[in-house]
Amino acid sequence: MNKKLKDTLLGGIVNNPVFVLVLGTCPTIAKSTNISNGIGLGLATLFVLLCSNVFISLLRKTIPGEVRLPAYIVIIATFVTVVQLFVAKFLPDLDKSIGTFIPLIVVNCIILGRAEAFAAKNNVLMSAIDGVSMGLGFTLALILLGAIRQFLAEVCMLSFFVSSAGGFMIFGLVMALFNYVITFINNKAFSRKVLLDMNSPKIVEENTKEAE
Amino acid sequence: MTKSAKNLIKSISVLAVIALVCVAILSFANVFLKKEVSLDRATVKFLNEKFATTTGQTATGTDSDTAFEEDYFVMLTDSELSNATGYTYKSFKSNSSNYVVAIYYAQKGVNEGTYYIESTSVGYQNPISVVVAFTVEDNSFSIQNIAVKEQREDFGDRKTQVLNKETFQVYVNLLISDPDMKLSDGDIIASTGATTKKSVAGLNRAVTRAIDTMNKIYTKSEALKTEISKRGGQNE
Repeated sequence: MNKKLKDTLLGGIVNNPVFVLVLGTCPTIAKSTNISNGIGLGLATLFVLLCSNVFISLLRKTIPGEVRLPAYIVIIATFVTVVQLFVAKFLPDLDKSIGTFIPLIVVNCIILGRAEAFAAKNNVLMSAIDGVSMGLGFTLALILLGAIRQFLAEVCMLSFFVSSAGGFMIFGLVMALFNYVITFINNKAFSRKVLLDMNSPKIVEENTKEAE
Repeated sequence: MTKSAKNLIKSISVLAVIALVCVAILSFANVFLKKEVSLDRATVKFLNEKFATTTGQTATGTDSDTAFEEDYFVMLTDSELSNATGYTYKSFKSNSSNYVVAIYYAQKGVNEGTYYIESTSVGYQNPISVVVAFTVEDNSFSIQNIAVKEQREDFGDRKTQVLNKETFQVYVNLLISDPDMKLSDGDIIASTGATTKKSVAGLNRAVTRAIDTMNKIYTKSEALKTEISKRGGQNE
């Protein structure tokens, strides 16, 4: 598997849009109050990310630079509207719960950010993979925060964590922990790579010649 | 033609084409995803339980499942409405946010002969849907009850700018007791210190629209019953 594909596939974890890139924090704080809301909003965002990335990548060589942002917004808004219609028709309970935040997906920084940073510069397949990876990363972040806040509110009876202030606190703590773990893993991987390189036959032979 | 003029024309053309394609996608999606109003089990349960009598008996006198399965309520179709009264649902529509959603009729049960008009309007930011129950007697009609079917004016814990649930119900109760009363748009709620202009205005509009609709159709009540009874004949 080539490096770019691997980086794109793991982008949702290594460059998690919520905990690493700190994008889309408004819906994250507002709607990560329980797991079901997190899943709903996350999957809606994933669908919009996937479709908008594919379309924008398809049209990347056609859209002039001067009108790229309005063009992106029109495309993103189209898919958000499709999601809104779908949720209103088939998932009325979810619509009541997160319906107000679905139109806000249009201005979610994750969508526009990935369109500008990735879909506009890469082919359709890679853009689709990036959309799915980032969407899953966002969904997992919402589920994780939702699970923690719901646990604290319903099991530990600490309803403060359902509020925005509590949400910010949990978000900050989880973000710190997430970044620590990612950095730890990266450092471990880097150390292992350095060790492997040092013990590679070519390096050992050079070192031996130098010693002699 | 200069290069900048060519670029401008190209930019506008591309944007226009993208917009047209997106409109086409939305039109296609709308065919399959348009929310149709229907008398489903949830609506029958709402009508049966929210319009219960003061003694606690349901509106039909039976449970909601039976009421749904045995068609205690029916929803008037456009053709039935048109044949009996000359009006259609479009006649009662002001715009895409203010309109009559459906007219239901209790064709059997304790509340037989009662009309339920579901009307929607926009409150502070979101739709407010109310169902108003009317009884028709001696060439006049009266409001039996009002129930709020959907509103998001009291979302979250916000107590400023929008109504909390209890205060919203206070206004509904006021309208039930005196439907001719126009709630003041500038009312201040003593408990929150917030103005309720848009929420109250939305509630006013929804209820007023239901009353105006009933005003237009109540004189054709017998013709409506005839149209509904034809439905039973078609099912035999």
